[in-house]
Amino acid sequence: MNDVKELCDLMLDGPQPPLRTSDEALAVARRATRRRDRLRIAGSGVAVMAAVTGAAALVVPSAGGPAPAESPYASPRERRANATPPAVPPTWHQADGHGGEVVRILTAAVPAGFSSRLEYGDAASTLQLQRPHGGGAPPFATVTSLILEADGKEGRLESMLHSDGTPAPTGDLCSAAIAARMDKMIGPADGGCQVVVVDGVQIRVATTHDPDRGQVIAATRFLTGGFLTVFAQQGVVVYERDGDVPPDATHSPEPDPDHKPALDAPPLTGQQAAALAANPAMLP
Amino acid sequence: MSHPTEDGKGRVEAMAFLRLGSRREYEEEFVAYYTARGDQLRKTAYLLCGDWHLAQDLTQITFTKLYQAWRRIERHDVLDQYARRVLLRAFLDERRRPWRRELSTEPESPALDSVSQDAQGFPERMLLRTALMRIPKRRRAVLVLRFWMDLSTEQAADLLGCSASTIRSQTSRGLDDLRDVLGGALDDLKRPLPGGRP
Repeated sequence: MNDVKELCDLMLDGPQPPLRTSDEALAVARRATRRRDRLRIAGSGVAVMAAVTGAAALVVPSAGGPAPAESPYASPRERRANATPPAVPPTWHQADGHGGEVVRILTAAVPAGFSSRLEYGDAASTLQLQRPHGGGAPPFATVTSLILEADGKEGRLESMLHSDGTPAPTGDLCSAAIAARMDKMIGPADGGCQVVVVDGVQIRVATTHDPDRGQVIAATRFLTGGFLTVFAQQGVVVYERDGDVPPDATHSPEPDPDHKPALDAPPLTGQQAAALAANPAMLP
Repeated sequence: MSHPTEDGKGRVEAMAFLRLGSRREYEEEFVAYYTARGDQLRKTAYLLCGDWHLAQDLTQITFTKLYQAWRRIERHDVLDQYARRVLLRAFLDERRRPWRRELSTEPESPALDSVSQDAQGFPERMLLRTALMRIPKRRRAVLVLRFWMDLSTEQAADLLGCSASTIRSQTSRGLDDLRDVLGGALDDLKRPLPGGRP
């Protein structure tokens, strides 16, 4: 159908921003590669540290499968810290640089019986989101993700710091207005929404279901200029194997053979996820 | 270093002799390939996502993965196919989890804003962009692969990791979607748009 090609040409038939130069593209690729290599090493270090401290990794699962941790609360030092929302949202550099601390806190919260590993080798992945029309600071999201495994099954524990300049909401955190904002980011709260208070901080705990991730508990702490959400996911999205292979490799449409079935339940309860979201040390 | 040919093919073929060379040599190959293919890949990305910011990021993600795999590349004659596959996966994954994307556009860089605003300024182009974005992403990808990139059903199936029959049904449904969304506006869109090529 030539019409479709014509329509595509029309869509491209206008002013286009300049393509990044080859030197710029090469510089970004080099930086990303150096960062990946560095964080792979750092990720290995995190696993070793967790094993030494007995906090989470390499624990032999119990026969009946692991139960959610009794207490994923922060250390007493962390609990004494200021729990009020920050007046100024962090910059993306601050958020990205805080990934190592977030890994430490999430790892400490992993329930007994699970082993954990960084999902992407990066302590944090930060990305710029689409800039809203009218300018303003570019929004971004910083994600730290752990894969939790026990009895041959996998789930995920993840934090996402989202900075979009939106003022902290007031009133009911489970209201329709807030749901309209949050559902786009974390999925509809079809499994219910409640507000819990941890150390004086209100946390919105929403439960959602989707075919990829199973049951997902999302505990959100609203900040001045954004929010922090801790996800406890029953399962991990099934992706095909990563495309980072030589082009002459035989393409296999099969799902990743390393993928494991979902846990029987999310690895943390809503209260436990809320405690992590309320932990001030989770913020830069 | 010589410049790539217009379509980059000659240069890409010549690269096969250099793959075991130094870092400087393979980076020269990388730069040559980017020069030859970067713009076309970014246009494909824009048709998929409808946003120049995101298109730039998807293109950069694709080339970063190419860079990381470059020394393991044995056959450069299938490099285009590989680049398209990486781009498609980056696009499909990005839309599935909007925040799951490595940063590649510096936050303080406003370079893309003014142009993207201009590009959206004409109602016809906006209508077309909106119409394409209303089509489910995999169907949209099939339409772009089949009709803009002129790939065969089998090539599109290989890229998307599905059967040829799935591509055929997705093509049919995608075309129906496009007709439904555009309706009578289709004829209007075929008129030359202001600001376009002569």
